[in-house]
Amino acid sequence: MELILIPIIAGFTAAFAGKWGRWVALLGSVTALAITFGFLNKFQMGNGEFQMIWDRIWFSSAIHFKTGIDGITMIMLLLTNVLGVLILASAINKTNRNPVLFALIVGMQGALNGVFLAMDGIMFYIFWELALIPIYFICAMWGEGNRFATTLKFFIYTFIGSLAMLASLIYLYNKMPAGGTFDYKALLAVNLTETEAIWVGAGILLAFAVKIPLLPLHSWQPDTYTEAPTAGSMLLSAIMLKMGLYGLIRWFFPIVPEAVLFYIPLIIGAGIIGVLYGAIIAIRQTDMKRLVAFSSLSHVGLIAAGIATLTMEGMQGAILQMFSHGINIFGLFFAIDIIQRRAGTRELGSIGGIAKQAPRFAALFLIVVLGATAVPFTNGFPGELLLLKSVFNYHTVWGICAGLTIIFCAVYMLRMYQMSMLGKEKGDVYLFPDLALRELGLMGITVAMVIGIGIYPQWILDICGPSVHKTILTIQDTVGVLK
Amino acid sequence: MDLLAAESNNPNHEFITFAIGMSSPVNYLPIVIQSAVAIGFVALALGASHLLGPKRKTAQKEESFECGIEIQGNARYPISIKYFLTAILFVLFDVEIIFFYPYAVNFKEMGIEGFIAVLAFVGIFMAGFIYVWKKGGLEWEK
Amino acid sequence: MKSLLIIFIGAIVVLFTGIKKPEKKSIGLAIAFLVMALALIPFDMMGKLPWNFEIKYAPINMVAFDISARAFSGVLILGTIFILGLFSGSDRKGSDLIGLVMFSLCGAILMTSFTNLIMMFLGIEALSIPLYVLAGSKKSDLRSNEAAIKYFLMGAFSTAIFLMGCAFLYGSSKGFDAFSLHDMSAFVGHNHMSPPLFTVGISLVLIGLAFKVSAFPFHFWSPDVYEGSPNRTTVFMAVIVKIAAIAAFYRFFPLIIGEAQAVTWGTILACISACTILVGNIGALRQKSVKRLLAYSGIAQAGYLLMGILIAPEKGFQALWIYSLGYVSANVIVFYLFNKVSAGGDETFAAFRGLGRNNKGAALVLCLSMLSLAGIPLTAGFAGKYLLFSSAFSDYIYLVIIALIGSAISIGYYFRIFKEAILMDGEARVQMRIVDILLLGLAVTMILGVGILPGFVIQILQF
Repeated sequence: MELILIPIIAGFTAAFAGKWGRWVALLGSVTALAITFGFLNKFQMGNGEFQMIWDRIWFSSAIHFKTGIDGITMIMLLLTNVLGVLILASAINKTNRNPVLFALIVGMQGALNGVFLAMDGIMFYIFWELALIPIYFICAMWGEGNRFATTLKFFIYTFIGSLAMLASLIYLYNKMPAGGTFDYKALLAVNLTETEAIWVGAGILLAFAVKIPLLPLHSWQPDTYTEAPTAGSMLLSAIMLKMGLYGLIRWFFPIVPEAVLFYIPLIIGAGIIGVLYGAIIAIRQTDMKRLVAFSSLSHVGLIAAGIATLTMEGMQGAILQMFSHGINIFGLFFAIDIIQRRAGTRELGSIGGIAKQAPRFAALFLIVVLGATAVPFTNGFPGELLLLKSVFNYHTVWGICAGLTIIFCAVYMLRMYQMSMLGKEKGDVYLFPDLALRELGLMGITVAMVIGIGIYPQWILDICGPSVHKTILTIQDTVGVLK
Repeated sequence: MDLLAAESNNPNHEFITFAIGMSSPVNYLPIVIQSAVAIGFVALALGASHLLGPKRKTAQKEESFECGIEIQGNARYPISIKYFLTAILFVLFDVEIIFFYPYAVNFKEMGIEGFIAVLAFVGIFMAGFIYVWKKGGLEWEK
Repeated sequence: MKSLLIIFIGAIVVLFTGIKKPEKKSIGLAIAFLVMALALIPFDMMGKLPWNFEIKYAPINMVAFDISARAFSGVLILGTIFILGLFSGSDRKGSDLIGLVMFSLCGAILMTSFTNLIMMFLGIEALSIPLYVLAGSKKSDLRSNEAAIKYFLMGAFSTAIFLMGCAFLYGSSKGFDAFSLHDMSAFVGHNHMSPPLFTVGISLVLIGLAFKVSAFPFHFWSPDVYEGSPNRTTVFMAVIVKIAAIAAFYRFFPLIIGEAQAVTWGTILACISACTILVGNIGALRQKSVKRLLAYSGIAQAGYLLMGILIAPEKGFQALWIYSLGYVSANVIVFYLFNKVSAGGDETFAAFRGLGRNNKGAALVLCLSMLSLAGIPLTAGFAGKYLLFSSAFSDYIYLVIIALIGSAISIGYYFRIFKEAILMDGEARVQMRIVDILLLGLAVTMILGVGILPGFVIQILQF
């Protein structure tokens, strides 16, 4: 509750606080992070059930304001609030003085917390939509290029998806006997025939597939990422994407287990094709932001495929990789932002040799790039390993295809690093000052997390393990009956 | 009020049994007849006067105003809005009289309640009249 | 009844006291009367007898101020207070226009509370005739004259059709009162018949009402009329007329559908509703003038409102009420801001340019009302849409799907206003009086209050 309200209130205050707006926003964000750590402290490890439930009647007796935390939620909250603070801090620089931007970022953090905490269908939907509004304004107000058309496309794509989800939720509600509610447990308990489940699932999946994005629905993504301001790209790729993936784990498979057999091959197929498609296109990109956008498409495809295997390795790997991917992509976008602000461009052909001018930056950037490439002892490695293993077990051919991602990823990431940082100095890089204290701090924290999680990923697996186990059991019960 | 009694005494029941048939094209006959009468009356009235009326066209007959004086200018001559205003006000208060006929016929039966109702009616009309007066609607020259 | 009388007397008083004063001096008095009427609503007759059909529609009463009548009257009076308060009058002498607005409101209240077709007809006429004058109240403006003539012709046409329908209904059910109508429809439904007079009568009355709510295929007049009329009249038409007509629809529809015919008429109405939603939303996409856009958006909203008539009375009533609260406040805000920024004569989207930079508060309020019209969560628009869609879902699933598609389309044009207002630079500027700020604050409170706690707001209806 407070995790949702504090950032939103901070957002409204910040919008009208003028010069102080950014600090009000930062304060709200940091408070939310502190509360998250408080929850982490109270969190009982090894318990797969929802904990710390807060339940009040909201719209009517059918729609509650109900929040609860289990292992999966806990990880997502950590991700949201850690990155929320980092993104906010990275956006505070001399060129941007409009308090509304910071207000929107922190408000978005609150809405995202609401998405992850919600234990009621309509509440989930409401926050899902609410998270869309700040990002729309961030992208439309501070974006570049053809930003209106791009953001409108993005908004309409996601809005159609979420309306379909709303229709599915209402359908489930109507299936209940009188006195039904939108409570998570009640929605799980609805029995559907397979045809019904496929249709209901299609509605829910549409919302998530647009956000993730799964392959045929990805066309909004590269443009939006490229044209959004850096903070917007970070929010979109580091956190908002994860809403879709989280939705798959929490709201899609458990609610329509009857249709699981139908959807598993579809999602894995779309995911793996996305892996290859994103990677191949990323290799050809010269715009660094666009390159990262396609790399994100590729990574996320693998995560979705891992979730769809419905195995312990797949899901745990997915959650671990969601966390790591969030951190890596924040680091990448931040580094690109630094390059762009100093060199005035982010075209790969027109810059080079930054490492000589800014060795500290080069070193930290390298670690982030290695993390994204999933080198052992960085955070990308354990998650990717688990995911690949799960997909490989599902089907060898798919596994091999997915495995190519490591090679491709190394190609485009290292190509990007090599062209921009190494080699002869090119472009306006002669006056490339090394990192300032604030930037150094942020990059330092990112790198520390990259290495920290790479060395000891087990704590994330421990937190989410029991809940993942329970989720899989719930689904397998029904699937077992079907088989 | 005794609603059950009202229901059992409802005259509709007899009527309904008479008026309702099954839905077949024949049952739409009353509507067709009604429409036919409505259109037919207009056509008949216009057509009959056209056919039956004597037609002697002379230059004088075709004139807009048959008053013996030479016509000057066009018939579509803009007339001061004041004429219309006065005419409309006259019609308004004239029509009011129509409502007095039924009241006058039922004067005794309606009793004091009817009297109050008519008083309110007239009162509202008077308010309108005074308003027109105050607004200057009755002044010919301003 | 008490509030109706107060408004009527108030209108006459305002007319007389305003003869020699400039128009804007009379507004305060008019609002005082309206506030009094609003305060009297809870004390009106017929206390807690909301859904008891026999008592509500006893043939002895021509009007019944049951709970739905009072709730809708409340929305209408509140809407009129917003309109009169936010659109300051001119310096011209005489307060006829304000008096006409109040007379029109009397008609609207009759439309929410009739139990007899004659009263419904009276209500429609009392609502419409002042509006013909109001639409043409900018005498020197050609477009205003055009709008008045168009509105008058359309209005007269629809009223004639409506009256014809009433005559047929009288012919078949031998009475104008709700009781005999309901008796007839129950009898018809019970015996599985479809008597021609009755059927044709219902169709004609429905057509007449569809004109008033501007539902497909009788919607074509509204963009032209909205565009030409003065802003205050346009918002009155968009808000008061539409809600009153929907309330009349809501009261009339259950009377004439018996058991057997519920499906037939329900399907017809569902088709009308679906077409209205699509036509309104698609039509709005191509508009350049803000007023035409709002007219088409109003058509689309009428489609959503019609869904409320299809669902069971009590649920439908709650949904309609919540929806109309949001609709009234959002529309009033948009029209108010549009009225201010278009004072220079520019009536396209470009009029809004620069609002975000020059008036942050006004831009925020505009965004909020747009979000509410588009039905984004935590605004009244979403609460209303949610209630409508979820109640209609079990019986009219295709209609709900079309309505959802319509909502998605509507983003396309509502966000265009965002774009102009917030992202483009320009000279739009709004100077607000204290009264304006208070009323806008009230409207925003309604949007957010209904949006965040609709359950609590529905509780108000229990009193």
